[in-house]
Amino acid sequence: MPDELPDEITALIHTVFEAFNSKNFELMKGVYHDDVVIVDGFGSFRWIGPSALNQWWAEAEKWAQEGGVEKEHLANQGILAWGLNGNRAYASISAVLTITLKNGNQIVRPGTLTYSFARAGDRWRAEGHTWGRLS
Amino acid sequence: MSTAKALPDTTGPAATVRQYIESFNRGDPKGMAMMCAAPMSILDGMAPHVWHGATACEDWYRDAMLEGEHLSATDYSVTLGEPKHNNITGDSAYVVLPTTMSFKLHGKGITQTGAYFTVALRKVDDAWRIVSWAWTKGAAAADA
Repeated sequence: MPDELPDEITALIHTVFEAFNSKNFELMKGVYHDDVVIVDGFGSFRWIGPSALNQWWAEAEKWAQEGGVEKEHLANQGILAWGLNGNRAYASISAVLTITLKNGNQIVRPGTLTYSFARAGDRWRAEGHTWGRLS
Repeated sequence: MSTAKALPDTTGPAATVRQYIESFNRGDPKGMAMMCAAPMSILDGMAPHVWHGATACEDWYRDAMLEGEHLSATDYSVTLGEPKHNNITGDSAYVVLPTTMSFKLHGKGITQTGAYFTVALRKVDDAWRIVSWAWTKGAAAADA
């Protein structure tokens, strides 16, 4: 196994944080394959299939709107573990989600983001992710 | 003031996860599969990292045992801590548990600490069943 994740996968991980923090869904979509599995700590908790990413994003927006969220910021605290095997890869990332409410209060939620990636042709893309809330 | 102790949760989402892990520790893939819905999805640190579909549970177990044979790893045992989250929304649930996994590698004890097991569940016929789990790897070290 190489010493580190391929640059393309590292770039995808960076893009996830950039897309989430700028609420840029088109940028986020570019990270993922069409058919994905997402697990998150709100709503129906799991989304699968070709529309999973859209559904997850829409539910997250609804959750934020209903919860009086002004903005969210997800900070990348570094890769905890990773694996690379042929055309498949795995990475778990430590992250901190800071939610700023419209009333000015902040909620800080540490967690883990666990990703799987698959390479199709020359392109790596995420097959899904799981957010594990730790507080 | 009540002196009664809280009864252990035997039917909630976390109880289903514990039964799944107990089955794994017994080497009982059928018992594990009984705790899963179909289709279910697994995201693990072991290659190929993703299993999805009606037989994902059994497929993952088979691959885990093959990987163990390949690496000369035996005696896997997972211990779950108290849930960081055990949330229910309607017929869906989300459980996050700290975990410790021990096994033997070429006969020597190894313990992986600081891992997390994140699980999504659905209520199927009044019972909580796993629809997805992900393993966030921790740090492995040889036992003292």
